[in-house]
Amino acid sequence: MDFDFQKEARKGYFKYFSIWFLIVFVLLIATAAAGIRHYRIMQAPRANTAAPSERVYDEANLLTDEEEQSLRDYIAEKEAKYHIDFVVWTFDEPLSDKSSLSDSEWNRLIMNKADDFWDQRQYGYNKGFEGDGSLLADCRYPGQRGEWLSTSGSVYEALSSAEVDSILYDVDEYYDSNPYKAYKAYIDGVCRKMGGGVPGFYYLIALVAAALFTWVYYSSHAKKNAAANTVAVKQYVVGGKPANNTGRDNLLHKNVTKRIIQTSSSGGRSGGGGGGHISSGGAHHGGGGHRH
Amino acid sequence: MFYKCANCGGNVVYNPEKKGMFCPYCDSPDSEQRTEGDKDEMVLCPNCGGELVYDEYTSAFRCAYCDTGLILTPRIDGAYRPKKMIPFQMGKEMCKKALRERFKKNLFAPDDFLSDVRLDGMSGNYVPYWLYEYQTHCDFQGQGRKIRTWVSGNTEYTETSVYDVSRSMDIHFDKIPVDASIAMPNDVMDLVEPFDYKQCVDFDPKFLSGFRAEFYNFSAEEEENRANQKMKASAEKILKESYAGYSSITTTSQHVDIREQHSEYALLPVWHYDYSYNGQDYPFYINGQNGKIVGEAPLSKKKALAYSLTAFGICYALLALVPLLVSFL
Repeated sequence: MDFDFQKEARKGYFKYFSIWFLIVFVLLIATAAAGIRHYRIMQAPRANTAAPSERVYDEANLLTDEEEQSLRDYIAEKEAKYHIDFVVWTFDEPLSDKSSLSDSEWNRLIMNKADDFWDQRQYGYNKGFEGDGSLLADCRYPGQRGEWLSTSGSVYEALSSAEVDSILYDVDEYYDSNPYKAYKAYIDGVCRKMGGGVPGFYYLIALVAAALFTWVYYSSHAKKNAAANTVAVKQYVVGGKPANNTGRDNLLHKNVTKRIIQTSSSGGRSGGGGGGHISSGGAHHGGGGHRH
Repeated sequence: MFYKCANCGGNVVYNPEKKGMFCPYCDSPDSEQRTEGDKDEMVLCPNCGGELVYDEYTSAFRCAYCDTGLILTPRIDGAYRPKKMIPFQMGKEMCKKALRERFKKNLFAPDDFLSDVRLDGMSGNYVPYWLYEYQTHCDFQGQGRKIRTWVSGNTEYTETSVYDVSRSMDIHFDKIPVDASIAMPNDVMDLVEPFDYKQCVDFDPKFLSGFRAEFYNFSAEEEENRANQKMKASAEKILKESYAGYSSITTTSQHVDIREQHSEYALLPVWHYDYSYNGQDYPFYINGQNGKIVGEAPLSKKKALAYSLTAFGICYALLALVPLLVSFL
C-alpha cells in the first residue's frame, strides 16, 4: 500500500495545533456563555425602586430648562444601556463656614457632601446601598469652586483613580464655558470607562498584533537552517599550538587625558487623585475631585 | 573487482554500523572473498554480466542491474591509489536520523522531504581529497594601543599606552583537506569539515565495497592554491589571537613563509542526498564521519500558508476573545 503523505500531513497539522484548537474552542464556549448571561442581566428591569426618579439637581441654576430636560433624557438613555445611575448635582452654597479652605480640606468636605447626597437618596441601579452608579457634585460657591465625582458599586470597582481623574479633565474642558457639555462629558466618560464591551479600535490593534506574531512565527519556522563553518582556527595545527612562539611588547609612550563630567539635575511632578473610602453612611465609595 | 560471500555467494559490503565487512544476504560477518573482474576498464558486471555505465572519475559504484558493489581496480592502483582514508562511521540509517533531527523544526518543509522513500535514495561517496602539510614561519610587526578609562570625583581620566608589538612563531599545519572532485562544490565541502584524522587508516579497497568513490579529478598542484589560502587564513587568525589584548592595532608587516610542504591523496566519507521539489534541486551533504549536515531545507508554500494562517487565526481569536470574555464577566 502506498504511503499517503497528504493524510499524514493533515494528521500532523491537527496534532500540532490540537492544544490551541482546544483552548480557542473552550474560550469560544466560555465567551458565548458569558455573553448570554450578560445579555440576560442587561435585559433585567431596574431593581432599586427606593431612589427618586430625579437625576439632575441644578441648585446653582447653571442650566436652562431645555438643557436640564435634555440631560435627564440623556441620562435615562445611558442608564437603560449601562444599568448604572447617573446623578448631576450643582450647588452654590459654601462647603464650610471657613473663609479659606486648604486643598485637602476642600477634598474632604466635597467628598463627604457628595457621598451623603448619594447615600441619603439611596441611588444605585441595582440597590439603594452601595448600588451601581456615580454622582457629579459641582460646587459653584466663590472660592470653593470645583467638581467631585463620587463612584459606587460596579463603577467604584471599575474606575481607577487615574480614570476618575481623566474623566474630570474632560469635565474641566467645559466647566466654565458650557456646564451642560461638561456634565455630558462626565456621563460619556463614565460610560466609556464602564466599557459596554471592547472598543472597536482594540480589534484593529489585535489584528496588527496577530499579523506581527504570524510574521515572527513564519520567519522562525521558515529558516533555511544552513550549516556554519565549524572548523576551529587551530584545527590543522600539529599539537594544537604554534612552536617557538616568541613575542615582544615594548611600551613606546603613554599619555593621560582628563575630562570634567557635566552633571544635571532633574525635577519631577507628582499627580493626585481620589481613592476608595467609606462614607458617613457606611457605604464604600470611590472618586476624585478637581478644584477650580 | 568485488567482494563475494564465501558462505552464500552474495555481495559483501562494508557496514559502518557493524564497523566491518558484512554479507546482507546471509548476515555473515567478514566472509568476503576478493573476486577480480576485468583487469582493464570494466564493461560488463563480473557478477551478473549486465552492461556497466559509470563516470570518467568513478572508482567504485553499484551495478544498476544486480546492485553489486563494484570497484574499478585500475582506478585505485598506482598513482591513483589513495594513501589514507577515513572509512564511513555513519551508515544510512544513522544519516536519516541525523537529517530528521536537524530539520525537525522546519515545519514548512514538504511532507515527503524526510520520508524513508526519499531518504533511501541517498548515496555514500568516498570523495577524493588532497591533504596538505605545511611547515611555516610566521611573523608580525605592529603598533598596539591599550586604552584604560577611570573616574575620580567628577573627572574622567583616559590613559592611552602605545606599544611596539612583534610576534614570531613556527606553525606546523598537517592534513589541510581540499577536495579534488568536480562533482562536489568547493564551498560545500569546506563546510562539511572538519574530519577527525584519528580515524584515518591506510587505504583498503574493502571499505569501498557498497559505496560510490571517485579518484582525484585534479592534481595536488592544481589544488594547492586553495590549501594555501586556507593555511594563510588560519595562520593570520592565530597571529591575531596572539595580540588580542590590544584595543586597536596597526599592522606594519606580516609574513607567512612556507618552509616545507607535502601532500597526500586520501578518500574521505560524505553522504549525498538529492531532494527535488517544484523543479528545484536541494542537495544535502553529510559528513560520513560525524554527521555534520550541509544543505538548506526546502519550503512548501502551501504548508507555510496553512500553518501561518492557522497561527494568525488562533492568535487573533485569543486576542479578541479574552477581553470580550472579561468585559462580560
